[in-house]
Amino acid sequence: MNCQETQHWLSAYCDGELPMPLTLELEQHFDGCQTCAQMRDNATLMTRRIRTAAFTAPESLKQRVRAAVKPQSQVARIVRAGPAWWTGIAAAAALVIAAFVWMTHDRAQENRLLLSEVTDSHIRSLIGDHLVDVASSDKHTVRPWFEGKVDFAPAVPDLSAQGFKTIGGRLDYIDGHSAAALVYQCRKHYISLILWPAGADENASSGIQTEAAQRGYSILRWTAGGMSYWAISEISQEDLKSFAQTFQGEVGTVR
Amino acid sequence: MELRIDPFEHTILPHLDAAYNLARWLAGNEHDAQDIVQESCLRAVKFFEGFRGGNPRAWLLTIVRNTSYTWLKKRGAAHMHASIDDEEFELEDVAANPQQLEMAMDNVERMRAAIDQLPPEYREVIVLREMEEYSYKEIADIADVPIGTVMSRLARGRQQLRMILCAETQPEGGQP
Repeated sequence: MNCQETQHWLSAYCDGELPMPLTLELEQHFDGCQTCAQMRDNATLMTRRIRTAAFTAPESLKQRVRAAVKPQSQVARIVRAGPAWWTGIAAAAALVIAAFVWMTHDRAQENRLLLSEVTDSHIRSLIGDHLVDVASSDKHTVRPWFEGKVDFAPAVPDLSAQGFKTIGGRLDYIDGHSAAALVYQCRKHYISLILWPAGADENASSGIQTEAAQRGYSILRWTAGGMSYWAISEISQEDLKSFAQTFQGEVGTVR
Repeated sequence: MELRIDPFEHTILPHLDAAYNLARWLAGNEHDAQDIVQESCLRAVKFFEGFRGGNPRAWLLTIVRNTSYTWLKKRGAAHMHASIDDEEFELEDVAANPQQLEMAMDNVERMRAAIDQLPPEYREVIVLREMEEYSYKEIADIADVPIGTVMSRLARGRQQLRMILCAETQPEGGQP
C-alpha cells in the first residue's frame, strides 16, 4: 500500500472501522513510513483534543426540560406527591393488587418482573452516581471485593482486547437475593452483567437467550456453571450478543 | 396490569448532555441549543409510544438533529453555510507539523472556534464520532446518509479542521 492509499483510509483506520486485512496493510505501511505514522499520531491526538471541546447541558436546562416535559409525560406520580387522604386508599389498593399478582403469578410474569428489576438496576446505576461500588479494571481487585458480600465468586475476565473494558462491580438485590453486577464499557456505552446463583429448577446451563428489549435497552440471559447471567445495555442486540459470547468464551478459561 | 414508565427519567435525562452537545454544535449558540433540546424532548415524549427498542440515545439524537435543522431553516440558517460535495473525496498530503498542531489544539476555545468553522455536514459527524463515540453505522442512521458518506465526511472534516487549526497558529507574516 502506498502513502496516498494509506492516507485515504487513515481516518477510518483510527476509528477502528476498517476490515482486518486492510488494517494490517495499513499497519505494515506505518512500520516503514515515518510521514504516515506521524499523520496517524496527529489524528489520534486530535481525536483526544476534540473530545475536550464537548459541551455539557447546563443544570438549568435539565430543570427547564423536566418542567416542560412533565405535563406531557403520562406517568402516575401519585405516590411522590406526599400524604393525602387518598394515600391510605392507594396503599390498600396496592396491597390488593400485590395479593392478586402473587396469587396469579406464573413463570411468564416472574420473568417480566425479573426483566423489569434487571432494567431498573441498570438504569439506576446510570442515572445516579452509582455505576459501580468498586471501580477498577483489574479483575484481581473486583473479584475479591465481592468476597463476603455475595456467597459466590464471580469470574471477572479481562475483555479489553475484545473492546469491552472492565469498569468495576456493584452489589445489587434482585429477585430476593444478592446479585453481583459487573460493569463493562463498550465504546461509550455501559453494559451491566448481573449474576446470581441459578435456582434449583433452572437448567445448569443454557444458551444465550434474547429477551424483549426493555425501554430501549437490549437484554440477554443465559445460565452457565450454576449461575444465572443477565446482560443489559443500550448497545445493539448484536453487539451485546458478541459481548456475551466473548464473556462466555473467557469464563471457560478463567474458571 | 401494565407498568408505566417515565420516558423522561429513563430515556431522555441520561442522554441530555449528548442531546445538548449536538444541538449546541448545530445551532452555534447556547440559547438556540437550549430551545432545540427542549423542543426535541417534547417531541421525544410525544412519540415515545412509537419508540420500540433500539438505542435510546441514538433515537433521541436523531430527533435532536432533525429538530435542529428544522429550527435553523426556520431561522434563516445563519449557521448553515455552503453545502459540501460528498462525491469528491481526495485528500491532499498535509503532514502538519506536530508541534504546531499540538499547540493549536491546546486551547479549548480555539478548538471550539475551529470546529465551528466547519460546514455543518462535517461538524455533525465529527461531534457524533469524536465526542459521542458512535460507530459509522450508528452515525449513518442518525444523519441518514450511507456509511461511505460518513467515512468520507469524517476524513475530510478532520483534514479541514487540521488546516484551520494550523492556519491560525501560523507565525505572523511568516510561512512555515
